[in-house]
Amino acid sequence: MGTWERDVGRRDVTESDRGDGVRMRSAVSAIATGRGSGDGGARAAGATDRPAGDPERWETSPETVVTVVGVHRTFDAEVAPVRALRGASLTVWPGEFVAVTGPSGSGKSTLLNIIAGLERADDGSVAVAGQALGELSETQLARLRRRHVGMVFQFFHLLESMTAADNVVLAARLAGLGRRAAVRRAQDLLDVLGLLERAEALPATLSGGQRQRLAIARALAGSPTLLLADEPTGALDSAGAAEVLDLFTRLHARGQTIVMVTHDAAVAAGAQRIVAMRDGQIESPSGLEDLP
Amino acid sequence: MAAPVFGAVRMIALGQLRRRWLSLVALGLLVGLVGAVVGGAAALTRRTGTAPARLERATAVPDLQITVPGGPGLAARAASVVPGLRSVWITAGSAARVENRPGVVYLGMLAGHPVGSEVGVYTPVVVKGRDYDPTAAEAVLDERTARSLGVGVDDVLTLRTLTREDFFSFDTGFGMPHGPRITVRVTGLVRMAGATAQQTPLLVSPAVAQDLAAVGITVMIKLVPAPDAVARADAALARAAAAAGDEQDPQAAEFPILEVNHPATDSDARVGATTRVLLTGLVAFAVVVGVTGLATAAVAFARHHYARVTEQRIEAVLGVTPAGRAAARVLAAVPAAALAGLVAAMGPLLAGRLEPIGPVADLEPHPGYAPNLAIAGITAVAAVGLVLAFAGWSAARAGRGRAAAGAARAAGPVRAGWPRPGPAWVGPAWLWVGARFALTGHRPSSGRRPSVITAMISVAALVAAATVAHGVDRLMRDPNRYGWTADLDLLDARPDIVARLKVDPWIAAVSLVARSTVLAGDNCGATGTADDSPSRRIQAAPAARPGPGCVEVTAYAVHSSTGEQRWTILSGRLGRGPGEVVVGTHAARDLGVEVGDVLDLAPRPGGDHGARVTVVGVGLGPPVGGERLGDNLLLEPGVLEQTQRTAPWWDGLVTAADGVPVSSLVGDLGDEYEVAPRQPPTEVANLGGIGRLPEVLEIVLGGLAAIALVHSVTTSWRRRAGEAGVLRTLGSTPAQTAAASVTAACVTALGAVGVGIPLGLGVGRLVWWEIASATGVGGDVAVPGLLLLALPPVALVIGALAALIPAPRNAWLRPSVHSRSG
Repeated sequence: MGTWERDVGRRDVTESDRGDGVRMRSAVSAIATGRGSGDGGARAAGATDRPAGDPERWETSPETVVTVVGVHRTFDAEVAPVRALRGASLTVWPGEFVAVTGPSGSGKSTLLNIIAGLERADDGSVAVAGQALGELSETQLARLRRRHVGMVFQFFHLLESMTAADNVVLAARLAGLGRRAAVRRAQDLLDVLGLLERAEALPATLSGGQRQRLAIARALAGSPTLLLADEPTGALDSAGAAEVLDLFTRLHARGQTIVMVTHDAAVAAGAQRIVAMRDGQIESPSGLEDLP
Repeated sequence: MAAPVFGAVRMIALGQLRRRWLSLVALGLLVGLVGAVVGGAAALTRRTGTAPARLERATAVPDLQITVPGGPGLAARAASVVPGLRSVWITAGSAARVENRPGVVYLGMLAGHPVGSEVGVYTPVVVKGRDYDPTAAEAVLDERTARSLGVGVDDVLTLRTLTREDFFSFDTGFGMPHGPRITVRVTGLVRMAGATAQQTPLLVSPAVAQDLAAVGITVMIKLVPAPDAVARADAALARAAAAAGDEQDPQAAEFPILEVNHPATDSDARVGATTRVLLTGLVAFAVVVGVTGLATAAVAFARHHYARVTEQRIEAVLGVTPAGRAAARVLAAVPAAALAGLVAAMGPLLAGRLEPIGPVADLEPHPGYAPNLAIAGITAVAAVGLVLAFAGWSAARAGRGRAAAGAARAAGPVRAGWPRPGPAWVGPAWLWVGARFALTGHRPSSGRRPSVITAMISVAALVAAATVAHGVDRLMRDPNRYGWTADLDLLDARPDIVARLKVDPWIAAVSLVARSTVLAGDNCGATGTADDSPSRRIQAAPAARPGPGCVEVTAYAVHSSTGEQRWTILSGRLGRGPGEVVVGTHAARDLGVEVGDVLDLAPRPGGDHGARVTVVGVGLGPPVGGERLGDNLLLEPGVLEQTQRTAPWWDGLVTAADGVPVSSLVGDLGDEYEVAPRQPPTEVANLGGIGRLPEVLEIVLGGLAAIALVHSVTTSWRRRAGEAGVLRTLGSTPAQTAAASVTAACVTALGAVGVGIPLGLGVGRLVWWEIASATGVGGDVAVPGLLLLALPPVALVIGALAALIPAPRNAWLRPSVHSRSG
């Protein structure tokens, strides 16, 4: 487990005078693990190779980041129970950028929430960063999330009463950073994501793309092992979507493990591996075949 | 075109009504209940506030009550000179000692007029029992006197009547009365406006009256209402008194030739302070309930329409105008409005069962059910209008909400403004997150504020009520505050009696006090020149009575004193010599003087020299002469002798020794003398008569504040459930989320008391100043320290407990519920 206790992204960034594109790339440098550039290019759908990233890292961290085996989840509904997951299995390796696709109701978001520990599986097993979630209490799940999981939502879910900076500082402090360190971290992230000038703005006053970038900054504040994104481009226009996707690609290039739920094939194409879901099950390669 | 539009509106309205009738009924009920409480309070306020005036009208309280110690001829002459007479009733007054009662009790009596006669003045209303039979040995008794004597309907009173000689020998003593013994049956208890009614509380039938020896004649006069009617009558009577100066019975030297009282004017001053306190309390209660209730209703309507804003969008797509959409929702609210009107009208109708509150209940001329139909109607119409207005406003607001939000966003960056607590501050992040949540709004932004405002207003009203209650309580507990340092008053004291009392081991202090009236101020006559002697001025009638700036006021002088008895000094000091005077609070206001001013006193009738004295203090003394509290002066004996209008009355003010029960001393002295145990002045007693009403108000307002706080905390966090979910997503543990929730509640609670306490203290101070001004007591405010100390921690505890209601749910909330992308 100690393998996943990373101290990432504490590097000072002094590239704020660069252009947006440079800034975005520097963001990746600042945010990602800082373990070399690696090969972050998208791969063909269905690829099941070992992930790209810093070779050293994978040598010292051979475990999977996410292991989902035979998970079932049923929700109560007014008319009849909804069987959201029916034995879904998935493995995500360190440094992978996985896109989970499928039609509405196929169980994508439920799977993502179960991986984040926000939902509990009715049956099956889930492990994140080497920890079996089924054995953890709510408090332990919260601690696991603050150390290992960053989440980005379609509708951002920012704390509307707090400034952009405070949204990020809060996440950093919950992740265990001291006050000053959290502020520095937030400044760095907002700077490299092009939001420093809007640091004191309330989220409601930001554009959709800005809000999603802020949400990503917040998700990365604790330098998580795993970045989960639930339809991160669903509420954005094409420019904003491209911007977010580009950011994910570069994060991945720096070794960030990403699981992204989307029903947009074009967005999914940006991922390293695409996993298709239907009727609560993984249809295309889940990665389990790579397990030792 | 209009018909299809109206048809569409009607269809939308019916749809709203079908799907959401329960919600609309609840909203109508809410507005109706608020209206009922406010309308009920308004009806009670009106009944309480108008009771004194209605009693005065119902009982035809005299504008002038003239007591004539001389014969009926002088009384008739006096009545004949009064201009603008509407009604006049001349009757005989008698006095008797009540037998078969502990202690010495004297009772004043008036010969009643035949039942059914239309005298048009002094017509007490019978509130219990029946009127007397004019041909039987019956009488009716003032209900307050009956209460103090423990007399009820059908009780028989045995009275030993005073002869005229007895009556005029009160100052020297006469032993047992020498008039005949009579028995009368009390057939009814009556209510009469005006303080002077208590001087002659027994109204005997003509059959009884014919056997009584009259000790004086009383003339009751009702004037035709006109500006200065009373002043002109006073002036005419002054001239008559001056003209009749030689007719004074030597026996009655201590009485004025014509003693003129103004019951209508005096009664207003006596009950004014109490009525104002009660009305202020009722109005404050109505305002708090009205404002907070209607704010809650407005928010409820806003939520009602905001929740179904999608329907409006669909209607907009179909071409229904904003006005049409709002009109449809107003139409749908018509049944709710009708319900609200019905429920609201019930408040004033039910409040008709309530008597005026506090001591003002004794001034209600028509006890029993008295619904106020006008207020019921107004309340009903207002409730209907409010429901329809709320419906229209909230529907229109919801309909344009999205556009407004978009416009706000397009307006550019909005910064957080002033530095607010946040996770970057020193300390645990959850602490500042909770504080931030408490200090900033959320969507819809109007949801939380009414509750917080309600809590603030309720706390303020609570503190104000407590401040007033504390002041009244302090006043009642500390007789020194209304000028009494003695325990009892021995009436018609003489130096030999006082000398005996000074050596009585049961007595710690005793003072022999002379009491008379003086004319003080400007235009009262000469203060020292023989050329302008009062006697000449009286003969030259027009200048003999007070002119503008001249006030007739009761004056006291302490002739001998042992032990510690003093006036209560509110500013300045006690007098130290003949040239100094202490002025009562009301007298100071009427005379327009303060410490350091010079006051002229007119010479006594027949005297050559008045006096010019310096005001060295403003304070309060015991108003044993029955004057208003603070409507008196404290002079040196020589100055009083020089300026008194009549021969003085003598009082012995007695203080019991330590360890001696006052009741025992009263009983002991009462066997031999006429004694009056210390009683708060009428205006203070009236204030005390409001009893536990302030405490009830405190409890109600405290409860309202607590409910508002709990509501604010719970609803705030219910609407912040999504944000609580986000916190969990970020890794906040259940304990941290709960801690943030409790912090938010505590900040809200502190905000409510932080604003409410100073606001309440300010309001309480204003109300107390008003009371002090009306009663004449000191205006220093009694701060309810214990309450102020207790409020913050109690509010914190309530807030924290309230936070524990949603905290577990928020702490264990699965954020995915709020974060699903669909």
